[in-house]
Parts: sequence; C-alpha cells; structure tokens
Amino acid sequence: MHKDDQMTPKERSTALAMGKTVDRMPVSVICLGPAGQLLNMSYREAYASAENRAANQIKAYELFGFDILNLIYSLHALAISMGARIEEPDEGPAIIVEHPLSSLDDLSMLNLEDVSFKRDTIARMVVEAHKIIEDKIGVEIGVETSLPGPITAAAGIVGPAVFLNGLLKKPEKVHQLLEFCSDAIINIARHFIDANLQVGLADPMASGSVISKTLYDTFALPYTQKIVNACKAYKAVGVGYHVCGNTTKLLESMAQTGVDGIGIDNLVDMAAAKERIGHKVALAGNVPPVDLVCYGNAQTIDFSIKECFRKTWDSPKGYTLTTGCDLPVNTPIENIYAYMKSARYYAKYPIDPERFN
Amino acid sequence: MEEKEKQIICRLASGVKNMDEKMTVEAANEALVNHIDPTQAINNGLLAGMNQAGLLYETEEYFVPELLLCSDALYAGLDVLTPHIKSVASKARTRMVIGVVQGDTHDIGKNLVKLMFETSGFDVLDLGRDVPLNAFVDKVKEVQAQLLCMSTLMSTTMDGMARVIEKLEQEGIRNTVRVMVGGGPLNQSFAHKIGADGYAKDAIEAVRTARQLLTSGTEDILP
Ligand code: B12
Repeated sequence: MHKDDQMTPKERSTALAMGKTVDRMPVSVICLGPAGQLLNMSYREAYASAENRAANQIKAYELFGFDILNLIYSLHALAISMGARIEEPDEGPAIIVEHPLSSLDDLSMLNLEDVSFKRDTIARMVVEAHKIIEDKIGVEIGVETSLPGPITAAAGIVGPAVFLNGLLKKPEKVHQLLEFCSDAIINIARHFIDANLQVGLADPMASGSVISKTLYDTFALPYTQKIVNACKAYKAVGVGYHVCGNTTKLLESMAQTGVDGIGIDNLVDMAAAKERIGHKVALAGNVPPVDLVCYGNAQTIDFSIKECFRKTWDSPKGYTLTTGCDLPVNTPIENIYAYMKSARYYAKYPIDPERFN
Repeated sequence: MEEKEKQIICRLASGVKNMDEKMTVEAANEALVNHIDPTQAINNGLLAGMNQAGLLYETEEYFVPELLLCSDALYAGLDVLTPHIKSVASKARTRMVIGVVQGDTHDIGKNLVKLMFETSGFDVLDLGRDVPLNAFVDKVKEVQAQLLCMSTLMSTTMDGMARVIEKLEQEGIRNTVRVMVGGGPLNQSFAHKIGADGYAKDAIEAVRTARQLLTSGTEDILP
C-alpha cells in the first residue's frame, strides 16, 4: 500500500461497492508516456518486453499509488499483425510508415487468422506482463488495458486519408472493413478478459476534431456497440471507453455504445459531461496532460484538479479523477507527485464540497 | 456576365461545395462548350466553392471527410479545365514548403493546410510527416521557397520548429523565407517566441495570414 493511503485500491473499490466508508475516492493518472523515465530507460525499452511492461506499472504504483494500472496495448495492433511497416522511435510509440492496404477497393485479403491473438506479439506480451503484476501486487490493485476502437483500427489498416475519404465515398467498403476490425477486436478482447484484465476501448480517430456526429453515429457507434455487447456476453465485465480530443457533440452517442465508463479528454467541459451523460455512465477526467501536468507546476495542477472535483465529484454514476489523455514522455516526475498530492487532498473522505468551492 | 455563364460558374462552385464530383465535371465541360475563360471558371467557380467549403469547416458544419471530398470534386474540375488555359507568361506562383516536424506523424491537419494553399494558387512542396529538421532547410534552399509551413500536434515535437528556424539563420537564409507554424498545442505567442513570422489556428486562416505576411514585405510575391 502507498504510504499516503489507508486502503489499497482493491479494498477501496470493494468497500465503495458495498456502500461502506473509504479513506478517499479512487483517483487515476494515465501514466503510459513516462514509463521509460520510471525505469531509467527509453520509452522503447520500457515496452520492449513483458518484464519491462510489468516493471514500469509496478513502479508507477509504488511511487504514486493511484487506483488502477494500465498495460498499454497498441492502437496499431491490427495493422502491425497484418504486416504494416513501422518505425519505433526511442522516445514514443510506434509509427506506421506503410499501411497494410493502400485502398478500400479490394478487401478480399482480410483474414481474421492474420490478426488473431496467436499472431499478435503485443497482445501476448500484455497478457504475460499482467501475470507478473498479478503475482506481485494483484491482491492490491487491478489492471486494465485499452484496445483500439473500430475507427482507429480501420484507419490503421488503410491509412487515415483513404479511410476518411471512404466514409463518404465508399460507405459499404468502410462497413465491411469495420465489420472485420470489430470481429478482430472482439477476439483479442476475449483473451484479455480470460486473463482477468479489465478492458476498454480507445478510439482517437473517432474524435469530434476529425468527424461529424452523423458520421460517428453511422460508423463508430454500431461497431463499438457490437464490441461492447460481445465482451459483456462473453463475461459480465465492465467496459471503459476513451475518445481523444473534443467530443462535446458526441457525448450522448458515446454513452449509447453501452460502455460503463467514459474517459473525457481535456477539451470537453466536465460540467457539461456530467449534466448530459453523468446519469448513464461513470465519468473520468480530465486534467490537461500536456499543458498542466507536463508543462505546468504544482499550483496550476492543483487548480485544475480542484475544478475537476468541483464540477464532477457528485456525478450520479460515479467519478474518477484522471488526466484527459496520456502524459507526454517527458512529463517531470515531480509534477506527477504534485498531482497525486492534490488528488489525495480533494478526494479525501468524507467529501466536503467546501474544499473545492 | 451572361445569365448562362453565371449559372455555370455557380454550378461549378456548388459542385465543389456540395462534394458533387459529377456535377462539377459536367459544369466544367459546359464551361468549355460555352467558351467561358477557364481561368475565370477556376477562380470564380471551383476555388470559390472550395472557399465556401472552408467556411463550413470553420463553423463546424463540415469536418475532415467532407473537405476531402470537396477537394476531390475540385481536382476533377481542374482536370477538365486546366488543359485549356492558354499559357501566357503567367505571374510566378509563390513557392512554399510544408511538412510535419520530426517525431510526429499526425498529418490530417497538415494535409488540409496544404490543400487550401494549393487551391489558393500556391506552388506547394510537401515533405510529408515525421520530417527531419535538416530536410526543411535543405528544401527551402533548393527551391528558394518564399514560404515555409511547419505543423505539429504534439508538444513533445514543438521545439523542433525552433531548431529549424535557428538552422535557417545559421545558413543565412532566414530573411529569404517567411515561416509559419501551426497545429494543436501551438499558439500565437509560441510562434512569436521561436521567431516564426506567423501562426494560424486553421487552414483557412493560414492562407489569409500567409497573404498578409507575403504582401507586408517590399516586393509583391503573391500568386
Ligand atoms: C486523429 C489523431 C491521431 C491519429 C493520427 C492520424 C494521422 N495520420 O494524422 C492517430 C490515431 C494515428 C494518433 C496517434 C497518436 N496520437 Co493523436 N490525436 C489525434 C486527434 C484525436 C485528432 C487530430 C486531428 O487530426 N485533428 C483534425 C485536424 C484537421 O486538425 P489539426 O491537426 O489541429 O489541424 C488544423 C490546425 O491545427 C491547423 N494547422 C495544422 N497544421 C498547421 C500548420 C500551419 C503552418 C498552420 C498555419 C496551421 C496548421 O490547420 C488544420 C486544419 O484546419 C488529436 C486530438 C486533438 N484534439 O487534436 C490527438 C493528439 C494530437 N494525439 C496525441 C498523441 C499523444 C498521440 C500518440 C502519441 C498516442 C499514442 N500513445 O500512441 C500517437 C502519436 C504517434 C506519433 N508519434 O505521431 C495527443 C498529443 C498531445 C500533445 N499535445 O503532445 C493529442 C492532442 C491527444 C491528446 N489529448 O493527448 N493520433
């Protein structure tokens, strides 16, 4: 257990579920970017093996003591399994240099076998890393992992430009590709669920910064629903969801996907999110990861956390403080300490709204 | 302008604006049959339509996919009309270099910026994404570009832009080129801090700003 807490994350969530009192509300940070720093190695090394993947999350728990760990999978997983040419920079996630398909015209080569768990080295590493974490600190804390949402997975296969163009020009082809992607994602998700990982979907390409609500409703919503339903039919699990960027106009649609919790990025007002979808899903968010946690200081971080709590602490289906999106690779570790210090202060039970007014 | 001519120009514009490739091509062919000056048809028809589409993007009626389709219609229309432009010694077009800085592969925004510059008559050289910093400098030198546009959506790669500007100075060519920067985490004050000449929040404004920058000098190098 972290020295500044009185309960472990698992004790806390069990107590909350039974309506018992706790030391504080759960809090979280999306701490994937700085993984290398935590282990004194490059980002690339920190994700190069199951051992290092486990080690960076165990270290994050030890240093910060937030309530959920996250074993990053890959937004590009399907494309990579299908043979995309990638580049792996030292300090940052893999970049696709050449997509497996260059057009939507011929989708006959899509084959679920090519994107199966067996073929997917990263997915297997995630499961292995999870075993290591479970053995070490599994009694104290749970682990989640994010699968790519259907839109991001599909854009990874044909490339964003071809994909976005196809949304309006070749909708049947896009539906066919999305059907394939959602089936593939369901297959991998089942393996994660079997391994006792909590699952979520991350779909940055479905962002309101890129597509309209109409396109979201036509292409993102049905396939996201399909994945969520399949996960829940497989086992009674909760499913999380995150779409980067400004999703203000998509909030109701995102809640309709059937997910249990939504991580809101920092371009969205948490008060609006609570009012519009707080009665349908649990909310998490949305301290600006770049402007404040990376480039800000203890004061600006404190101010933002206070504001998050003020707006969302009483959201009907629950609220977890977290960052809007992942922290940059070079986020100063002191700032994450500062974040946790303020987070613990405002999250302390019993919640006294006076603290953040 | 004759009523018929007006109508055709109008259809060229709405073809582009409404993402209607077929209508655009038909109108372009009619323009030729009716002896409308192709340059007029392009400027007052196709490009005006793209401009209107840009405004719809600014007001969030259009998003990225819609703009991409408008540009498809635009290019289809251009394919019909450009071969018929009589090549009078046309005024030299502004040469510009554009790219996403090293470490960043977000290129949706850059592609829109490129598109709006192209459709505004600039001669655009696209270096793509994840572009090594030296490549910007080398290209500016090689083609004697008058405008350099750098894009990034990641704060971790922003500093690369400052380094490119430093390199331009070291090479002694900073004064020959206007530098504009843009992308999510940037703002006017960052642009100012690193010594860029301009910043714009979106692709439409980018062209406006570029025009201002290029006319604010002594010689007129506008297209
Ligand atoms: C779509 C997207 C992706 C797609 C990119 C596909 C592609 N080929 O471009 C995918 C899924 C691949 C992706 C990957 C990643 N992404 Co991303 N992504 C986004 C998202 C949701 C939208 C970006 C977008 O396309 N917007 C639409 C376009 C039209 O807008 P725009 O780019 O801003 O461009 C306009 C203006 O800025 C301006 N402009 C742009 N360039 C220029 C240049 C000049 C000169 C001028 C004048 C103007 C100008 O005009 C444009 C048109 O109007 C943003 C969220 C957001 N709020 O932006 C995150 C975001 C940019 N991504 C982010 C991150 C962290 C990543 C990853 C590292 C995630 C990961 N862990 O894997 C990787 C990066 C890999 C790499 N090294 O490049 C962060 C960046 C954080 C930061 N500030 O550093 C963001 C902000 C999300 C977040 N909230 O954290 N991403």
